[in-house]
Amino acid sequence: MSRLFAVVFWAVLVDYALMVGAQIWAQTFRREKVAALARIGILAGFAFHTALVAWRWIETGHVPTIGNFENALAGGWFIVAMTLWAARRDRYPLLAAGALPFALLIMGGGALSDTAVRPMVASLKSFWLYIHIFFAWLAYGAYTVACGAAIVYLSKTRASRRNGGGPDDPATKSSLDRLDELMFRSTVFGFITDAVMIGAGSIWARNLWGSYWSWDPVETWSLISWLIYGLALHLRITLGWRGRRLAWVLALAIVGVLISFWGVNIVMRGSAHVFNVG
Amino acid sequence: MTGLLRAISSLRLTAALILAFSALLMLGVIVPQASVVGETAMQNAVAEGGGVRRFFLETLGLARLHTSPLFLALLALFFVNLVAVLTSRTGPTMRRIRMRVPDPEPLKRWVASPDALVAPLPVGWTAAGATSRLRGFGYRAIRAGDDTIWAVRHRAAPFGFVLLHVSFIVLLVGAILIYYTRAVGSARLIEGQTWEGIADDLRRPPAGRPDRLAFTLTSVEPRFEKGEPAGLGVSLRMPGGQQRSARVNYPAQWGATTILVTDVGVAPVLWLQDAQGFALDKVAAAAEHDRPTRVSMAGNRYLVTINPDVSRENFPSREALGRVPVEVEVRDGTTVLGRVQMTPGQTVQFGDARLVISDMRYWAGLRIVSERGGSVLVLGFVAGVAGAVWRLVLHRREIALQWNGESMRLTGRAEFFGLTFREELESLLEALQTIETKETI
Repeated sequence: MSRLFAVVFWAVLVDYALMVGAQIWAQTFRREKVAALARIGILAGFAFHTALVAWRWIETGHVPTIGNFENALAGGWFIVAMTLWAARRDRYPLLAAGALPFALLIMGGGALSDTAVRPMVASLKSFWLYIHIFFAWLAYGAYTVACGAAIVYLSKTRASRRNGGGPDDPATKSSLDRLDELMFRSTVFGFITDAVMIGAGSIWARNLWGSYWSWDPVETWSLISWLIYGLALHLRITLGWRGRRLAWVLALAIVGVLISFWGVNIVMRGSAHVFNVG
Repeated sequence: MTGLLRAISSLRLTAALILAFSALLMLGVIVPQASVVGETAMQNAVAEGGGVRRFFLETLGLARLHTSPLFLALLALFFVNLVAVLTSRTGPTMRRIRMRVPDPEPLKRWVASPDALVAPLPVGWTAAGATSRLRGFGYRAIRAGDDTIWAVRHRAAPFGFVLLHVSFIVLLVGAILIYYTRAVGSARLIEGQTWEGIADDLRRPPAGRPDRLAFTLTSVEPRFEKGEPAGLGVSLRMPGGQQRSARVNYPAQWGATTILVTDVGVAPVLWLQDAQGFALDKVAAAAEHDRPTRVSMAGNRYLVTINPDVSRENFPSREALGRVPVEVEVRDGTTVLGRVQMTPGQTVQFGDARLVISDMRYWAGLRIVSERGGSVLVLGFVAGVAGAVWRLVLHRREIALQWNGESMRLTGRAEFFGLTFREELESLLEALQTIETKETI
């Protein structure tokens, strides 16, 4: 990437990191002005992040989907976008603090890999790629929001217990109920979009490799991740798991998503050329 | 027996099975699988490893986990549990989606609950207007007395549970069909060559055999962008003269057979002539990418080794094909007659024979897959997603509206997302307060 691109990229990461810290500070010490500044800071970072995605798109001539770096750039964008959407109207003041670190992790990891511009290889020139990747980003973004909400839920319940309050305190209960519902809604959204991703990926695999499913590590891990979230939904809907129990499940389930995400990029790394020549 | 049935249809068993299944799949990712690394590589790994490796990979079947008895047993138990759960819960689900107004007393108690929303009755308010307004919000409303309306939205949404879980069975049927009918073969053809046979050299179907297939590779079309390879396609002539084309990501389809293009290379056409120029032999040789290619000519008398100067960085376009240099070595038995670099159209003397590269063509590597059940699999995916959306997103909501001369009470319940539904109720109440007298059913 060019020097200017790199500067803006790292500035966005630093901005996100600082705003996460600012949010936590604002909540801990009840500084409304700092919380407002953090919101503005995240929005500003997101605006530059959007510009980076557009820049990369124009530079490469294709949607940023090739390689670790582009997937991290676009995937991180979806995480931030969905976090901002979920937290609009200031419903969940700490949500960004819980979810954005995953965007930082993914984007930081992506920046350590090869950032060179690559042409779109023939194996990626498929309508199904865009469906598969788009729903993957939606799913992973939603799972990250669920995880962020879970982390905030766990820290709030731990803090209120330490302060002698409890979940029966009306303001705390209302906040926790909203977080609980956000965890559930995000998981539902992620589960459905994840299913579309897997289905679209299978159809694409059949067109590219001649097989809907070949148990390769990437496919298998994405199925494992989907099953874990399916289990979380079962625990919630049929066995009534709520609150801290569900929060722990969702906070840990993100590990499967992170493995799926990096696994995809390991498989995608390879020749930029179509033919097995030379 | 009842206890056993209850255990089999238990949702705790479902949770445990999902966990066990996931753990087994994780093992399949960590332990190398023969289906991923290839049978030959796996056999070599087992042969080179010690007894421990052989025990885990072969004896326990971990190298072929997805067809191992353990995996299949778990899968079978999973589907037994699924069918048991479906059997026990479909009846109650179907009863729930019936349009049935609650009994008056429970309905009255429900509306009287303290968390019902209350608002003054607007001037000119009518029940017909309220019903109409509720319909605008997607509710199906029924009068449940002189002063009560009961309404439901997405009444049949619980059926999504059935659809989602039946889709797993559809997916299983599709997978079984594919497993038992799938045949995979490979072919490497030079432009102009015809392939005929049964394509199952890579995988034979456990049941039956695929139909014989015949086609001719009429042309290979590599695509370039800014001088670099960017795409690959082939044109095929099928039985009856029908044309098909296959490109990367867009395979050719012929009945239940799919033909994918996987590879490409160059194939010099070699003529071997005697000293008088009479042809002794003619061969079109598909040159390998990464090593020299040996070709026998004139009844194995001559061994010709060709090594075209072609790599992924300089892969020739159709226009440049006629200029591709080829390193050629000719042997007569153990005697090397010569080693030169030739280009198409050039003739070189080797001993008492002459070698001509008359032409340079492309060859294409093809994968031929024949299977049935793919459309069943896709149907399963679609049904699963539709079921999940229907059940979880469009979930069922019920409301009850009661009024007297001065005020109205609105209460409701949703299967999921209670807080969001609460906001929906508040919007509904606001809308009900703005009903005008002219609104009718």
